[in-house]
Amino acid sequence: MPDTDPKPAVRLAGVRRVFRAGKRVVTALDGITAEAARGAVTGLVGPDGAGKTTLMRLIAGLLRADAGRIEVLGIDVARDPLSVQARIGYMPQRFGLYEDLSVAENLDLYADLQGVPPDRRPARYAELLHMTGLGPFTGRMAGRLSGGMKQKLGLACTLVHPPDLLLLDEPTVGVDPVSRRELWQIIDHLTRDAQVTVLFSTAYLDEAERCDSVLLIHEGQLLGHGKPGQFTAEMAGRSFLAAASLGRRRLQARLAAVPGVIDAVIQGSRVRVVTAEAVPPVAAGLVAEAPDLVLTPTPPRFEDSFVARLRARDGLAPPAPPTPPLPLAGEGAWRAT
Amino acid sequence: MAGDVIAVAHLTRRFGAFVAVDDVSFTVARGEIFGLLGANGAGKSTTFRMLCGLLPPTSGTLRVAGFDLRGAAASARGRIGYMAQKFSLYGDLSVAQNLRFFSSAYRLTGARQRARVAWAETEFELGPMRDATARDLPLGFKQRLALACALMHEPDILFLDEPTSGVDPLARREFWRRINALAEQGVTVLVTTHFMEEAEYCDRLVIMAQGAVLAAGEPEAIKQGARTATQPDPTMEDAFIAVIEAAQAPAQAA
Repeated sequence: MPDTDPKPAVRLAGVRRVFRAGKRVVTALDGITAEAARGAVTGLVGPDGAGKTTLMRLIAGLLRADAGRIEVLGIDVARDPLSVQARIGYMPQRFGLYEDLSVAENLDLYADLQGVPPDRRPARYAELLHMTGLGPFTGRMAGRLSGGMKQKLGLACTLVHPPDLLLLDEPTVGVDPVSRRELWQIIDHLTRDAQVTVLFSTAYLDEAERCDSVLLIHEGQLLGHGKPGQFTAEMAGRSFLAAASLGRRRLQARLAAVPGVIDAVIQGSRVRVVTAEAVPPVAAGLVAEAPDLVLTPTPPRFEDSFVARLRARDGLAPPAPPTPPLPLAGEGAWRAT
Repeated sequence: MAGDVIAVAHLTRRFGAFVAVDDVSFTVARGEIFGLLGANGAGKSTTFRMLCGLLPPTSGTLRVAGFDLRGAAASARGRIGYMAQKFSLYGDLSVAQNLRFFSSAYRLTGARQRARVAWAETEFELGPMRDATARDLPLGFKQRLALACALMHEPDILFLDEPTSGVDPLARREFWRRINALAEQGVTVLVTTHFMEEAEYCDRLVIMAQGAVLAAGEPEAIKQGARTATQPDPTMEDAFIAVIEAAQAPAQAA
């Protein structure tokens, strides 16, 4: 049944969570306020240590916030975690597949745990096996599946009882690009056709562009919140591909030191450059050693926006100067002693 | 080739009936940054452990820094710096204690050890954190400390296992700035990654799946190999997918 409730699926207001171990105090989440819309894929995007897993656990009612309020499907999680848990599916980073049980036995086990009535199982299994492409492998031991297939089985087990909200904690980490593409096809199918709301965490910045909406988190703080297109629109006219006969590593080091350049990374034989402002840099004379430098505009990407935000936070400090040259004296000369 | 620092030929490793690495061959020249690209389970880490002399191959030959790893693993290891996935630091030890421990493990003593610890603290800006416990360091600092530990004995070859998985983009750039500087100075770098962006930084790379090498070459050439009318400017990820699908096609047809 389509979910027509106009209220957001998840509402976070001033969410804060601190962990203490002995004298150490780590602020995992430092006042997060954001929303995730129904029927959409919302990405929790950020590097390791950003607070993504903590936020997932808070939303799932497995942890309590120290401050702030979390509403999931209109329910206050702190007051009624069980009602929330009855309506969500949560796939943690290390999903508990039973490696010495077959694909079919894992599905049965999770159907038992989630209280799915036996008469509803055949149709649901057929749907999930078709969706994940695991149909031909129902008799195979889970421990003998590839990494990508294990992730798909974990997802199928999470979905045996159809949830209103699906929490996926870094499902694509370490899987090959083919399996990653298949996982995204499944997620698209779930949101487009089955009206499931998905909250998806990832440290791969390119995956932000596949989400309907993104929360960019870094070190417990929300650095940005919006459609991925809003992040890239901020960066319009600021990214270029640089080519020159100077070696690409030297070209990168020189470009990184040019004032007004906030980012320079090697991309194949060229160097991708991002500028602080949408003023096209003049290639001629930009790098003294590269008189043949050519700059070609290239579309912005989500990572550009993250880098720009980090640079802005750090006071637009120019990138660190190249490593000081160490005394060169022939073979093995990089040695500093 | 005479300039090759790493030469791997027909390398195979079995665990019972399972073939983790299947007839892999490649060479890496001095000062080159060479990538092993593949998903978890593709055989990258097993290849790596054999190159480090930590695991004997079932068959094939391995030469690292001029030493045959079957006969002289210890000699070869003295020329190798290794940075493990997730940085394998001693969490309960301080920054300074980790540097001293790793330099001792690489057999540095006395004045040379003190000089290298001082070098690491300066070069990697670890001085202000020298008494902090490694476990409490921010991820970017941990990564710098792990690289410093791998470089204490001034190795000719640096092995990096998933070096920047999950770190923020600025820390990743900072890390690669150092790696590029090392390569420019003649250090040979071998890096495993499942991170497509990182593959772009390599001079050459191999794409691995199910223990075998499916494609090898410069990043630009590998990307160009996936060019089609509908995909005129493929990314490394597009190329990876094309390579895997091409490898699976004959198997499915059979």
